[in-house]
Formats: sequence, C-alpha cells, structure tokens
Amino acid sequence: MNNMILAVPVLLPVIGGGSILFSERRSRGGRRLLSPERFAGCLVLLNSLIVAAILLIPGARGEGLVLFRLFANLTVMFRIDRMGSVFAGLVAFLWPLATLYSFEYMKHENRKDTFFAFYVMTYGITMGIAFAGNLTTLYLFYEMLTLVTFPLVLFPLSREAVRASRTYLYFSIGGAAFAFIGLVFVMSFSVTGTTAFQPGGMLNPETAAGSRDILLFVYVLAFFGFGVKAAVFPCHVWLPRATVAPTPVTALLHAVAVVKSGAFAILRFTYFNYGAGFVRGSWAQWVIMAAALATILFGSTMAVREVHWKRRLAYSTISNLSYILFGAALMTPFGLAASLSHLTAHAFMKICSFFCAGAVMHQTGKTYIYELDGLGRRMPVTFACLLTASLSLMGIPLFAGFISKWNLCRAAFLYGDQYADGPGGWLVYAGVAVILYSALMTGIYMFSVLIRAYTPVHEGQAQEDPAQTASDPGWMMLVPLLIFAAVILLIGLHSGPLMGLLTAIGGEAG
Amino acid sequence: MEGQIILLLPIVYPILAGMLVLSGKGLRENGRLASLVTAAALAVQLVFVAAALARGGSLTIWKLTDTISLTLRVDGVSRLFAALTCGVWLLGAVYSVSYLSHEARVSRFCGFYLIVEGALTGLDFSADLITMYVFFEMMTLTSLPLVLHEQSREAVRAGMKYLFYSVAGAFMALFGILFLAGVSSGLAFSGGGILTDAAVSGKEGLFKLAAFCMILGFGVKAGMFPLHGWLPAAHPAAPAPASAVLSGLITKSGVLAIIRVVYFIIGAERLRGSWVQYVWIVLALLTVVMGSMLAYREPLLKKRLAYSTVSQVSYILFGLSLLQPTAFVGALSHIVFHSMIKNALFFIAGAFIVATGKTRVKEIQRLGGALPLTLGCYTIASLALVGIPPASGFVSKWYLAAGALASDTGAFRFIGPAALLVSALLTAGYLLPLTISGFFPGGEPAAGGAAKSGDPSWWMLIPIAVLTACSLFLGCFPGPLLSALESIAASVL
Amino acid sequence: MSIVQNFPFFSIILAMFSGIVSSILPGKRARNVSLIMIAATTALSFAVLCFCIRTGESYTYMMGHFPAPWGNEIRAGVLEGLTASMFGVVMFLSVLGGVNYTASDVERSKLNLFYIMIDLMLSSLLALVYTNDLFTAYVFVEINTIAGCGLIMIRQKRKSMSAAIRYMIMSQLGSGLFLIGLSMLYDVTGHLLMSPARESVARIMAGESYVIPMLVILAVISVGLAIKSGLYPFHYWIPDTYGYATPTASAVLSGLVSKGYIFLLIKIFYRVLGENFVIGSHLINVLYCFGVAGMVMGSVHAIAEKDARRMIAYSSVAQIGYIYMGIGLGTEQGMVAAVFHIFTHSITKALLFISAVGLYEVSGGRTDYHSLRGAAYRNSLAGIGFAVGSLSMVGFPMLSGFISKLLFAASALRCPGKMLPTIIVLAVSTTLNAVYFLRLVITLYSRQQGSEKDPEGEAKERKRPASGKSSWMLRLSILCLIGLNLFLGLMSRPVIQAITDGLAMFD
Repeated sequence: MNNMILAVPVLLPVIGGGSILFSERRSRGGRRLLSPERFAGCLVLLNSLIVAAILLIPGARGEGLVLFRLFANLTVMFRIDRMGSVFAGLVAFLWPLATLYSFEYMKHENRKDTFFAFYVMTYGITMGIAFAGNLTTLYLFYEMLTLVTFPLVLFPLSREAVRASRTYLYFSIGGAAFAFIGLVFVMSFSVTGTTAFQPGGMLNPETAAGSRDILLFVYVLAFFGFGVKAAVFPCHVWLPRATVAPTPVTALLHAVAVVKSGAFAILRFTYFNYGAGFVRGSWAQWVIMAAALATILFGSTMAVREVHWKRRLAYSTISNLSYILFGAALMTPFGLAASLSHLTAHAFMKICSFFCAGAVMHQTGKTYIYELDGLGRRMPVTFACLLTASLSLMGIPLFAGFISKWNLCRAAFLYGDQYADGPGGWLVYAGVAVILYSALMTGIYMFSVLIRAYTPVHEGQAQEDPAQTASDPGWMMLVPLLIFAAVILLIGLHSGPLMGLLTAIGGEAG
Repeated sequence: MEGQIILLLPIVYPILAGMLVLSGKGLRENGRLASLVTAAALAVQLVFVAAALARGGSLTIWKLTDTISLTLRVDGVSRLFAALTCGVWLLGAVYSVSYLSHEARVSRFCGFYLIVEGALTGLDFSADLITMYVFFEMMTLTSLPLVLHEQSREAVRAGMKYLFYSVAGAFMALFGILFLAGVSSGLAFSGGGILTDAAVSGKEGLFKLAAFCMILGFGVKAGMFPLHGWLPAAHPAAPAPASAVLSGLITKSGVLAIIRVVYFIIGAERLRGSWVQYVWIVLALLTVVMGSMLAYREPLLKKRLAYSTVSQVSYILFGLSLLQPTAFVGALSHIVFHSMIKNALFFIAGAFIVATGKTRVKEIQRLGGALPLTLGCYTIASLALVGIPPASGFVSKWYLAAGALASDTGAFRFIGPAALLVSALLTAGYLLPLTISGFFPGGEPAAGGAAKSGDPSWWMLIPIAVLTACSLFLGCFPGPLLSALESIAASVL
Repeated sequence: MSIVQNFPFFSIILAMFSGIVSSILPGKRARNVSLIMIAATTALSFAVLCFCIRTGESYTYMMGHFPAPWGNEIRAGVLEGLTASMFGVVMFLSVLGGVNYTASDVERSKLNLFYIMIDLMLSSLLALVYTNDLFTAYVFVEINTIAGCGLIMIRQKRKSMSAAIRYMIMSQLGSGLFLIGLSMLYDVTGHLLMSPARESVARIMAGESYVIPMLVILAVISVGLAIKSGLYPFHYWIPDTYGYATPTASAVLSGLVSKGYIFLLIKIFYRVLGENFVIGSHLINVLYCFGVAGMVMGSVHAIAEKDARRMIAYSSVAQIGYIYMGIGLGTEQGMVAAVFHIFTHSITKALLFISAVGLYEVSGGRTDYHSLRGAAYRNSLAGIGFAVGSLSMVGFPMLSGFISKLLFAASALRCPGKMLPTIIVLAVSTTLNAVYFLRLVITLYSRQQGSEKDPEGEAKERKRPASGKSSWMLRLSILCLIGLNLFLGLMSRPVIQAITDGLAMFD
C-alpha cells in the first residue's frame, strides 16, 4: 500500500500552484524566469502526462497508497479503480486544454499569478477526489476543493463576484456538513470499520438491517449534502451566480470539475459505500429520484427563460447534472453505466459550449442572447463548434449526447422491466418523459442562440456594432474548441470502447 | 459496411453536392447559376435513385453501439417514396431557376435544398427504426435553413416554431422507440410487425402509450392536430419552392414514419380496436375538417394552402388509421397525388404572387387574362384536390371512403366518409374562388391587384405543367400505380 | 511517593506565589515572572501526566496532616494532568502572543496588576483541576471570578467597566447557586471531600431517602456552574465580557475559564454524585437541550454581529453548547467527545483571539468588518492563523475541529433517542459557523477596492507600531497554536486514548 507515484499527480499541482502564489510575493516587480502562465501550463501538461502514464501502464497503479491516518480507522488513502480512472482520465484530458484556452482569455488581466496558482491547485485537488480510495479521502479533498475554487470565483472582485463567492462557500460547506453525517454513519456501520470503497457497498448487513430507516434518512441527507456541488434543487442557487467568474473558471470548474466531483461523490457514496442493493426499492430511492427529476425540469425551464448566455448555460448544467443523478438513482448496473456515460459526454459538451460563449465574450464583449445576431457568420469556427455542442446536448444521434441519453432512458426502461412491481415504478417512466422534455427545452435554449447567430434579422437598420468587426479568436482558444467538438463526434459515432468500460464498472458495482 | 453500397450513393451524393454548392465561391454571386447547377445535380440524382431502386438489397452503414446500427433497405414503400421525392425535387429545382432570381443568397438555399434531398432519401431507404430516427432528425435540421431563408422576423419566428415542434414530435416518438428497444431484440422493419405476444405481455398499457406517442410524435411532422401549429407559420414564411417541398414531401416523411411504425414494427393487428386506433381516427378526422375550415377562412394565399396541406395529409392519416387494405391503398395513393397537386399549387401560388405582388387571395384578381396557362393549371389542380373525376384526387378519395366503409371501426365507417365529403366541399370553397375571379372577373378591377406580366417563364411553367399533367394522367390511368400499392398493402395487412 | 506526586501542589503554590511577588514588581518584570511561572507549571503538569500514564492510575495527595475524610486532598490522574498541561500551554501562548498589545492596551502603572491576575487565574484553574474537596473548589471558584473581573476591568474603558460589572453579577449568581448546592450537599452527606461524599450519596440513593433534595442539589450545582461557563440561556454576559476585554484576557477567559468550570462540573458528576444518578435524573437531558439550543442560537447571534470580537465571543457560546451537548448525551463516548472539544476549543479560541490581535494591529486598532478588510495582506501570518482557526471551527478535515465533530457524531450514534437531533444540529451548526467565520475570513482577504481607505484609519494606523511586521512573540505564539491545532487534528489518537483512560480512572 505504498505506491508513491499515486501521490504525485495530486501533490505536484498543489505544491506547484502554491509556489506560484509565494513567488509572486518574493519577486514583486522583478523579472521571473518563467511567467506564471508558462509555468502553470508546463505543470498541468506534465501532470496530465503522469496521470496518463499511471492509468495506461498496466501495473503502475498498484495496490494504492495510504498517506496518513486521520482518526481511528479512518485513513487518507489513494487507490485507483476503474471508476476512478474514468474520472481521472477525463479531468487529465480536459485540464491542459482548458489551461491553453485561459492563456489567451486571461492575457489582458491583472493578478494572473493568483488565477493560475489556484487554477493549478484545483487540478491537484480534483485528482485527489478521483484517486480517493475511501470516503474519508474523498471528503477531505471535497472540502479542499471548495477552498481552492473559492478564490477563483472571487477573482473579478466585483460586488457580484464577492456575493457569488460567499454563496458558493456557504452552500458548499453546508453541503459538506450534511455529507459529513453520511461519512460518520458509513464509518459506524461498515463491515471493516473503515470507509473504503467497495463495489456493491460495504455496510455490515446485520447492523444495517436493524437501522435501515435511519440509514436511509442519512443517505438522503448525504445525497443532498454532496448534491450541493452537484447542483440538486434546491441547493443549486450558487451555480448561476458563480458564472460571474472568468469563463475558464466557469467552464472547467463549474461545468466539469466541481460539479462533476459532486456527482462523482454521490456515485461513489451510493454504489461503493452504501451499495445499490441497500437503497433500491426503498423510499429513499424515490426521494432522490424525485429530486433529480425536479432539478432536470427546473434547470431546463429556467434556462429557456434566462437571457444572459452564461447563466443560461449554468442552468443547462444544473439540469444535465441531474441526468447523471437520475441514472444513479436507478440503482442498477446499467444505471451506473449510463450515468457515467453522461458524466463523460456532458463534460465535453458543456465545456465546449462555455468556451464558445467565452470566445464570443472575449472577442466582442457581448453576454446577452439578444446581442448575438449575425455573429455566426463572423466567427464561423466558434459557432460551428457551438452547433456541434448544441446538437449533442439536444441528443441528436451521431453525437455523444444521444448515446448518453439513450443509455439513460434505456436504463430507466430496464429498471421498469426488472422491478416493475415497485411502488414508485411509474417514476422511472416519468423520468424518461422528463428527460425528453428537457431535451426539447435544450433544443429551444441552445438553438434560439444559434438561429439568431446565423440568421440576423434584416429590418433595414445598418447599425454600427462590434459584430461587424468580430472574428474568430486565436489558435489558443480555437484548438481546444475543435478538439472538444471532435471528441463529441467521436463518442457519438464510436462509443463502443467507452461503453464497454462503463458497463464493466456498472456490472461490478451495481 | 456490408451490403449494397450503391444504396448509399443517392444519400451521400446530394449531401456532398449541397455542401459544395454552399461553399462554392462562384455560385454565391450568381444565383441563377446556382439554381442551374442544382437542377443538374438533381437530374444526376434521379439516375442514382433509379439505379439504387433497381438494384435493391440492403446495407449496414455503421454500428453506433452494440445494439444500434444504421441500416438501409429497399422495399416497396421506399421505392414509392424515393421516386416521388426525387422527381418532385427535380421539378422544384427547375422552378427555382426562375423563381429565385428575385431572391438573395440563392446558393445557400440551393445547397440546403440538395442536402435535404439526401436526408429524405436516407429516410426513405431506412431499414430500421433508429436509422429512420437519425435521418428524421437530420431532415428537420437541414430543412430549417430553408424556412429561415428570407431572414425576416416572420421567417425566424417560423423557423423556431418549426424546429421546436419537430423536435418535440421527434422526442415523443423517441419515447416509443426506447420502449420498443426494450421489448424487441432488433428494430428492423418487417411487413406486419416484429413484436411477439410474449414481448408485449404484462406491459400492454405502456405499450399502447408508447405506440400513441410515436403516432402523435411523427404526426407532428404530418401536421396532425393538435400539433399542427408549425405548418401555417412555416409555409408562408419560406420561399415558394421551399413551401412546396415542405408541404409536399417533408410532411410525407412524417407519414412514412407512421407507416413504418404502425405497419412494419408494431403490426396493424396489435392496434386494431384499441383506444390508440380510435383516438388516432378522431384526431385525423378532426384535422381534416378543421384544416379545411381554417383554409376556407384564411385570407393569405400561401397560408391557405398550408392549412389545406394540414387537412389533406390527415386524409392520408385517416386512411392509415383504419388499418384496412383498401384504405391503406387510398392513403398511399393520396400521398402521391397530394404531393404532386400541392407542389403544383404552391408553384402556381408563387407565380401568382410574383406576378401581382400581393399575397392575399382577395387581392389577387384578374389573372385570367394575364396568366391563362397558369390559371388553367391551377384550376385542374384544384379540381383534382377537390376530388372531381377523372382527376387523381377522386381515385384516392374513393379508395379512402370505400376502405372506411369496409373497416370494422364502428361509427367511424360513416363519420369518416362524411367528414371527407365536408372537407371536399370546403376545399372547393377555398380553392375555386381564385379560378372564378380569375376567369370571370366581373365588377371593378381592384386597384393594383391586377397581374402585371404574362405567364411566367418556361422554367416556372414546365414544372407546373408536368405536375398538373401527372395529377390528371394518374387519375385517368391509375392502374399500374394502384396494383403496386395493393401489393404493398398485402405485405403488411 | 515520588517527587512528581508533589507537583500538583507545587504548581498551584507556585502560581499563587508569583502572583504575590509580582505585586511589587514593575510591569515588564511581572510579565516575565508570569511567563516563566506558566512555563514552569506547565512542565510540572506534564510531568504529572507522564507519571500517571506510566503508573496507570490516579493518586490522592493529602494536604496537610489530616487524613481523609477530615483533611483536604488533591487528586491527580491522567485526565487532570492532561487538562492542566493543556491549560498551561494555552495560557502561555495567549499571554506570549498578547504581550505587545497588552502593553499598549493597559496603563503602564497597572500592567503588573494584569499579570497578577493572570497568575491568580492560573492557580485557581489548576486548583479546580486537581482538587478533591468541594469547599476548596468553591474558594478557588471565587478567586477565579475575582481574577476574571480584574482581567476585564484592567482596560479601564467604559465598556469594559460595565462588562466587568455584568460579569461580576452573573458570576456571583452562579457562585451563589453553587454554594447553596454545596451547603445542601454537606448537610445531607456530612462530607466536603469528594470521595467520601460519593459513598454517602450512594448510600442515600440506595436508601431512597432525600431523593428530592438530591435532585435539587444536582440542579442547583449544575445551573450555577452552567451560568459561570456560559451555557445558553445563561450566556448573555459573554459577548460583552469577551468582547470588550483585551484579547489575551478574552482568550484566557473564553478558552480556559469557562472550561475550568465545566471540568469542575464533570468532576462533581463523576466523583460526587455518580454517573448513574446523574443520568437517571434526566438532568442530563436538560443540559443536552440547552447545549443544542446554544449551538444554534450562539451561531445565529454571531451572524448578526458586526464587531469581530463580539462575533468570536458569540461563537464561544455555540462551542460551549457543543460541550454540554456532549455531556448531555450521557455516555462515556459523549464525555470523551466533550473533553476533547474542551481542548480543541481552548486552543482554537486562543488562536483566533491572538491572530485577531495581529489583525487589529494593522487595521488601526479597529475591530469592525470595514476596517479589517484586507488585513490578511498586511499581516499574513495573522491572517493565516485566523483562517486556520476559522476552518477548525467549521470542522475542516485535518484540523482539530473535524475530530471533535467526528467524536460527537460517533458518540451520538450510540444514543438512539438523541442521535437524529444531534446529527442534524451538528450539520446546521457547521453551516452557520461557516457563514460568520468565513465571512470574516473573506473580508480579511478581500483587497481594497480602489482607494476607499478613510484618512482617519490611516492616521491611526501610523500611530500603531506594527504595520506588517508584528513582534516575534506574536508570530511564535500563532505558529505554536496552529501547530497544536494540526497536532490535534492529525494525531489525535494518543490524546483521545489519554482522555478515555483518564475518564476511566476519574472517579
């Protein structure tokens, strides 16, 4: 249990990022060997390569690594299983591209040191969540994630940013406080007395059966607790507000890292601590499924009404995250596989969308939907990528979003077949209807932007507006966009290998 | 990929051709050249389609996942639709050469026009439910720019409405597809249905709901009440060739989807006598009557024709809902006839609007003197649509009525034909006034409403004439067509 | 009998003696004497602790030549040694860290008085920890009160005066109740020494006589000590007292004094009345309810506060609530959790107050939010210290507050009736703590927008000596406190083990 290499992808970015912060103090005004961006970029790239090596070289991940003992039986340990490798791989792939994007985006900002320092540190912490081998470690890094992302939300230092960061902080810590309850109960009711992740759950059957109701209640509490980061209604309030942060932050953190960590934590907690068999069929399952469905409805509907582009995408994220949670709530192997597939697909789709929005904001300064007329012609590559992402979000076949939506709905139907006599069985069918409704709403809110962008209405006015002079952003912002669009298509057309891996994960854990 | 690759050709070729037209620099300035290129491309397409239909066979294009793959196959239904589509599309392109010379950005229109043809052919050739769904969505998305073409506020609103209704309908249908994917091991079309009793047992309620969702969902594209709202918005907003193919063929894709679902997947027997069938009949008849009434009261010419489409396509849906061979034949034949007639009518309407500059029916007057040939074709087409023998509309209506009377659907055996009759009267009411006021103007000439020029150019006239002639011809000699349709009916019922 | 066994007695006497000596010394000397004395007594206590761990049992130490049950006794065990050491360490670091600020806050002529009070306070705390005699306990409770009043009053500002008076009144109320309870107990049992009194009580309980008087005794003693330690709803004197005293005094008062009284209460429960009686009387439940209420209401009031010191004071109310909740659970694990939280809170509260000193220094001496904005950039170590303290209050993993929370939650699991409310209130309280503590931390770390600085604040800032560079003593103290916090957070096993052992041999 001492595979030291596992600590490197976690600690290297944290220490490296921290050093950017401290070096800022030292050489105030003086010249530095390496500008913060370059240093951050190298660090991120190096880290991703290390992660890739760990994941791909067979045997590299070993048995795991125990860092230290926190309390009694609770240790902080890393261990990569298949599910962790999916999340780690996803994060490691996205972070260098996002960093590349932020080079150009943040070119004209001050305080780049602070930004890149925390950006890099967040990478390490997210990796810690991916590598966590037990709930204690996950919880530890979960709390730390709040702390390192908080300065990024605060970054613009405007009044809204301060308010948004406060909301984020309070909600996150409040959520973690309720998730903590889950941690304590898992610790007390587990077979081994630790909180280690075990596919299929690790609760002691005898003691757990005796306190089933209280355990289910705690499960619901912990679901909502972790669900704060996963933006479950009603704990989603922070997410639309957090869009005041710079786009690389919103895109990566609030569409990929932070919110996916929340969903990932729920998946771990459900399938690897409690065990799907424990929760399935109980009232707790219906509660969380209803919460997920309510969030999907809420998010999709609010997105249609929202006219600020990034906030619209934020509501879209809220809704899509609950697709993942709906899949998790099914408590079946295929449900887990389906939710993981949406976790992956949505990461790409949403980061692509946010980056397109960011590119538009960067080039033209426009942030509201109604200001985007005609930009589709001026920034063709950007909007082509946005078109790809929108088609995928909507669930059009040949794109990644169709695969994940298909899986989710099929998983729901399968559940209905297998457990047809459950009391809330109709809820899964309602779930399918809700997902399809949400897909329609997605079409509305994504395509209304695209239609305006591509077909500006000719009313006879020839205003002098910046749209006339807009153009596609530089290569540092375009390359990530194109890569994301390509991956969306790739997953849409050739999802076999990915789904094979995810189904295997689902099979052993569900 | 395994199978007859030639099947892929009529699908991929127009799409590629369309993309070339879209990006071609030289075509962007010269609209007329773009239209000519398009027409030529479509002529080539006709050859490809003919070759593919002659060759027949099937083809697996690509496996999306372990359980879903994209497959193509040529059978009777696909032959019918593919041939119809390609023929009418070509005529539309010829028409556009002259019509679109008044428009801007012709190359964009032509490019997407070609791409939609490819998608439609793909839809016609689809061999399973998923492939059909893929091409269905593709068709919706690629036809959207056609609706948006004018870039007026009305066009954008109409385009959004079109998109959202279509997507809503597609997702409703997807619900059914998801259900079917669970009860059946494959989703390939097979005459008479692929579901076994064992598969559906225990889930009858859900099954019927799924079937209904699919009919309703695809019915959106076909303009069935209550989700027909996009049609009257989209048709007038688009340029005339687009409205023509929207009405004439794209709505038929919804019908095709319903045919495939009801007759080739679910199987007519399973729905016979169920609430699904009865609701379907009711909705279809409602649309028939309501569409005609709304058309009668509509002052704008293109919108009037749009409502007419709503009504007429529901004739087809009514025929299909009866689950009876004769009615089935009637429905299929009405698909053919209505396509031709409605395309002709839209082309003519385009000519009228260009000639007079007006879009309201009351203001389009005194055409008889100025555009005699056009008005003459209009009259013949109108009569065909009303159902006067020996025009083609009569044949299809006869079969529909006969099928209704022969079906075992209770009171609807009589209500159906009655509704058709009422609708026929209304059709006459909304189509013939133009003829009358055109040939027998009487009274004061309305200021500025008179036709300025003579008959339109040959480019516009030939398609009109061809379509009108066909609708007359097929009415007089329907034999070969009907026997082909009867054999299709026999394979599914 | 080894020399180490004399150490408890020595430490108490040493503290008193240095207090007496300091009365003739000038301020600075008195300060040094105080610091040396505190260090010495801590070392002594630590030696006692090691001794008790080695021998594995507690021992009684006769004071004077009169044996029990007539004479006076001191009792030392693992728990007492540990508590005494911890009190000593916290007091040392609090005094050390606040040296400069105290020097500027208190008049020069009165400075030695301050340190006398500190010495007295330490001696009375140690006595409360070690004593085995009820009346001695009372005497030192009073000495403690007086020392506390002196500490508050020393600033001689109007608010401090009124705070001191309020403190005096409430304390006297508490002491009075305690004395009444004491007298009744003596009346009923005939003993003032704790262990013999215990046997008497047991006999009484078995005999089923005097049941009501025993209940009253229990209630009165508990309420008295609860008032003195600041349990909700008897807490209203706390914000003013801790808020308007000088920070070292606040740290000592909120971190140590209240804990001393709680320790005494625990001692009485274990050693005089017996756990069975206490638990059986349902008084435990009352304490539990008040504790839970305090956890929530303390935080709610803190959120409403605009002054940083009063806010920290209200948070003490909440934290005391935690401890009483732990006691109120009525199980051994609950008690372990409560005692551990005593330690956690002392250290963390001291850290908060001392870091606050550093922050006030660079903010023109003002303590409201507006002035503190961006203070963490002006004094980075203090900012970090305050942040660590706040995070520990919130229960961030790797810090001691997290271990406290874990202990509380784990012990709650064993009490079916109280499990759910405890857990939910823990979570709610964490959230509330996050709101007000992290709000302040955010303010500390927000940069000034443009130049909104007011000229007054700048002028005042120039008056104060420090502006970015605080004295080494402050920095050392903050570092040590952070270190202690981390130690408790990461290596809590030995401490918890010691507490458990100590409680086992406590009666």
